[in-house]
Amino acid sequence: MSLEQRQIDVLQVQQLQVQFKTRDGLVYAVQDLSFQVAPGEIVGLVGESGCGKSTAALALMRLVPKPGRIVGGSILLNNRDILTLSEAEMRSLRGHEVAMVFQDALTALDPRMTVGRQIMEPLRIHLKLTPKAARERAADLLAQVGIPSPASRLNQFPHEFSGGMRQRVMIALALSCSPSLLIADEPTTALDVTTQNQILNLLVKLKDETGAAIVLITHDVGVVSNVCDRVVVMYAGREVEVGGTHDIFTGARHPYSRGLLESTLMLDGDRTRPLEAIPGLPPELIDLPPGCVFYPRCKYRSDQCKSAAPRLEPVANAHEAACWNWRSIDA
Amino acid sequence: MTTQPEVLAVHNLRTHFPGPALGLPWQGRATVRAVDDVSFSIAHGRTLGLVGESGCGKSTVARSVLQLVRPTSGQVLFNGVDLCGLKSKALVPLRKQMQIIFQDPYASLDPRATIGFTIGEGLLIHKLVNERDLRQRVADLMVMVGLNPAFENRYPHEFSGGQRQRVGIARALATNPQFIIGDEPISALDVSIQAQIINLLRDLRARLNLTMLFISHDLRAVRYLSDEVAVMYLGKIVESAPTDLLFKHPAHPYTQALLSSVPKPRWAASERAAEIKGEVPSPLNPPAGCSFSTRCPHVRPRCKQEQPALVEVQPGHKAACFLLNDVSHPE
Repeated sequence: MSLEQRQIDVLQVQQLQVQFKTRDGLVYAVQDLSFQVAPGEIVGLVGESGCGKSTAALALMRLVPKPGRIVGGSILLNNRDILTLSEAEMRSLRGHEVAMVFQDALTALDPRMTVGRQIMEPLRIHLKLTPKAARERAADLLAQVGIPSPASRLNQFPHEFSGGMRQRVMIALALSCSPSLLIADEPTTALDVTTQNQILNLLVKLKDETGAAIVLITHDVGVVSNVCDRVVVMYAGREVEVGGTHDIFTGARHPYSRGLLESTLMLDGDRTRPLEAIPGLPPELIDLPPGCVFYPRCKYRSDQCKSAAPRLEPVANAHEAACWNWRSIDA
Repeated sequence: MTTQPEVLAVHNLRTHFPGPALGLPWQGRATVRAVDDVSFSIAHGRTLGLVGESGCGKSTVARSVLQLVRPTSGQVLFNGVDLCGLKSKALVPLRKQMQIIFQDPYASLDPRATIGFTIGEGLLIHKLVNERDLRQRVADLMVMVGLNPAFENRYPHEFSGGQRQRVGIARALATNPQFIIGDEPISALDVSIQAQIINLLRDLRARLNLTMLFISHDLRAVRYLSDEVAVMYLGKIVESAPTDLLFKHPAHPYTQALLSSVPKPRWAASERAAEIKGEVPSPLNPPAGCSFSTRCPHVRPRCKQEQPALVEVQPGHKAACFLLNDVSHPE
């Protein structure tokens, strides 16, 4: 993508590094993560548990819990590096310019507060709306996310909503101040498949209406293929491949992305053959192999991979992979 | 198919639970019809996949079959013996013939028992080996599921999710059962590990000639592991058919909705999948007619009054819908 285009990106993450200091040593939870998100774009961060995708999401809000620390890189939100902001400045940003949808709405919402009060809170604080105006806007938001009879449901508590409805409430809450960036951390993982489909459709619809940029964190390759424009594949805290969703799904060049796609269960294709499973287990982040982190499980490995870690390099237009041997992997 | 004897035959199984009090003391309690008139059978060496969303009663079917909850009425014939009529003591010798693999490999293993003990406990209870041969048998089982037998003295917390699920499988297979229930055995696992466990289950099933009831909310997983599939909704089976037939020609609107809700690549679907509206009704207060009538896109007045029976669409393929001839089949 050209430079002019990139300048309008809502979010530019460069060389982000997050470490956790533990009793047993330093854990490199996120290492050199770089990606951009344009307005109206959905970028997926995909990977398995422990790959650093949720830590990355929290870092984007500067909410990495202790003993974790952002130790390097920059996060430009609308061309302002949020890593240089004071905590007070950051607080005025959260829920306003950047908002988050969590996986488990029941734990993310306050059980002792009505849904209405929770949605009105950011409206009152960030937008300084009067109680009456905030209430009206909250009802509009609930209607926008497809909750029937919104005005009366404002007075209900989270436990009075079903799982799918609670997730809609969270999305309404996140969108309340029209943020330019929405971070959705596994927003549909706890939901049934028919409800998941409803929520994904809702996210796409709202994105089209508001022009917000979305970072979608998920382990579900199917969800990525369904809604994301671009994908960042993460493994053991590293970004191993990044590119357009179609390019990655039809021509992944990193062996891990390949393996992830091949081991994904499908609705079509030969079901009698064994699945192409990736052998072994992901490494412990505290005890990473030297060289390429995927080396122990990789079927394309060579001697070079054992000693030197590959960096992201362009493999096609707007498509990068971190693999020494990407040329020998057919697109 | 008909040449093999039926290992399990379930007739008109009903499992009801007492619900919340209706209000005044003399009004009694509501009844939750978790499983309501479910019938199916599994021939020797075959696998039936039972699929449905959370709360549809699929796990209660599993527990009722094994008599872990006692069904309210109906028959569970295991090799011709009705388990519902047996006293708990009489069930004990049969239990070694039928085992279950649970969903959550974190909760289903005793954290204070070594995995060697967990795997071998059933063998001792049923007096299948003496203490001297126990270690060898446990080691054999661990090798069979792909665990290093040297780990027998380790505790569950020392293992990853996928390895723990292997322990759960080894434990279930220890007594050499003829029939295995897998209750969402892969749902808690990462994608690349799911593929490993599916391959393992397929391999073991063929090697040990197991008969299986595989329960999952994930149609894709069911497709890879089942010979026949039954779809449950609100305590009832709404459709059952051989796997390929069900995925190619789903007859019931709910099955069609489930299939279209599975996230697919955007470029493969011509447009965003039509979503199914609403949510599963409460089993405390199910709709009067067809249980799917509140969400069905094809609903007719009749559906709201009468309950459709499961009827044969073609040999081996049954569905419970009044509109079988009118509902268009995708593909």
